[in-house]
Amino acid sequence: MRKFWQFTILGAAVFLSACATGPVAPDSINDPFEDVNRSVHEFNKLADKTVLRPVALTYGAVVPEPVQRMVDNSVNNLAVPGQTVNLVLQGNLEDAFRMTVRFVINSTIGIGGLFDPASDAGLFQKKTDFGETLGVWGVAEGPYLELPLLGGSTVRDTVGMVVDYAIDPMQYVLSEQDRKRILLLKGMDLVGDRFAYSDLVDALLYESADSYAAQRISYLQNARRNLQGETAVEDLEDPYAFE
Amino acid sequence: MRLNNRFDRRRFMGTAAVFALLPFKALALTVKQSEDLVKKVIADVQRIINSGKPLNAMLVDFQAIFRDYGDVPTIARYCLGAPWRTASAAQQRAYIAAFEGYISRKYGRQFKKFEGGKIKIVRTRDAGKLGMLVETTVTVPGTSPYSVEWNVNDRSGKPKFINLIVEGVSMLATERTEMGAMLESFQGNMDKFIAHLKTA
Repeated sequence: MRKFWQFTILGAAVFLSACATGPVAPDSINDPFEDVNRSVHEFNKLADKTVLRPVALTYGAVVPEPVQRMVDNSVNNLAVPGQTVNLVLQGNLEDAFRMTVRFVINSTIGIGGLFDPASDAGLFQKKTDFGETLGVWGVAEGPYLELPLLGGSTVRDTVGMVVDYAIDPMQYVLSEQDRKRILLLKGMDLVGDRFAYSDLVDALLYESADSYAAQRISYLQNARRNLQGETAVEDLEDPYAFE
Repeated sequence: MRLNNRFDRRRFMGTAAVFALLPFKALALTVKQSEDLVKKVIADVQRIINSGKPLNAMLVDFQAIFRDYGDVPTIARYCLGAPWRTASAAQQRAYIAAFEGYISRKYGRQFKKFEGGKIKIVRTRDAGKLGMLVETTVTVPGTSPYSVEWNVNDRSGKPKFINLIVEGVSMLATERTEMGAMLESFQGNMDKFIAHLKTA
């Protein structure tokens, strides 16, 4: 049954890659589902306000900083194999090699990923996902989506998230029980991230005149830059265009 | 412009005429000038965050950075968009003043996060008529380095930044969205919007 789903997902990915278009302007917005997205946004804000934010503030106050960092390091390290698979699929063998070295260093010297000696040595994590792989393959980002509890995304990146689950090597080498433990760890890390970026997230969600629009433009611009690997000088916004 | 065998004489003359009409100053912005501006901003930011002053005093100092090194009127006008054209001269002036305080408070708080960190110029690229794009990397202990880019232009008379881009997210796009939403929340009433912006 699991195999069937994997084939279905990969089939969908291949289909999507057929609907390729060129890069989009950095400030362009494609949001045909805005009404639904805005409802989801209100739900997400409520969930943040009533659950995630208070839990995160408690987490930040109770859990010692070194432990918070270890949780973050572990979760980052566990994501490296899946990210490496994506780097290979993107044809970026150099970074795939660097991430493999990083994984070996942090899993051994870094005691199973609790510490991050690789970053100290300048070997920073190259975070990526299958949404980006699809982008490298030429798949258009598609309409903007705000997903329940997961936040900003696009059709392409949402498909990517599902595929990432299927192609993550860790899914196949870990026992059922370990996978459950990791899920718990990931939950803690999510809370930890909400705490670490509380100023930014609070400003975005609760101080913006239109938090939905603010989150949307931030998500899209950040995702587009990650895909391109840099800001394209020819795509810069021209403030003189309005005179 | 490359002169190859498909060289079109009329197009060349046209381009030459356009260049002749451009003020010479617009072509003179150099990599060094742009990087010097960014270095000055970085030095001032570091000085302010290490001054030990309370946050509110720091935010006042950050406003001086925006006023001296940023082309605030150009940024403000672009972020307001079409309603700029229908605003009165007095409203335009009041809006620019309010906007200057607003972005200084908002981005000053972000600058505060550079505390204990290092900002390094990575490279500078020619952005054509938009001037230069100076890319810096901010390294704060305990977090992954992130990119802050400064779009520098000298159309105002001297090199000033016209946009700040953090990990791809641009101040122009963010604040254009924000100003639009804020004005809309006051049903397009410019005076109420400006009064709100002063305290936002």
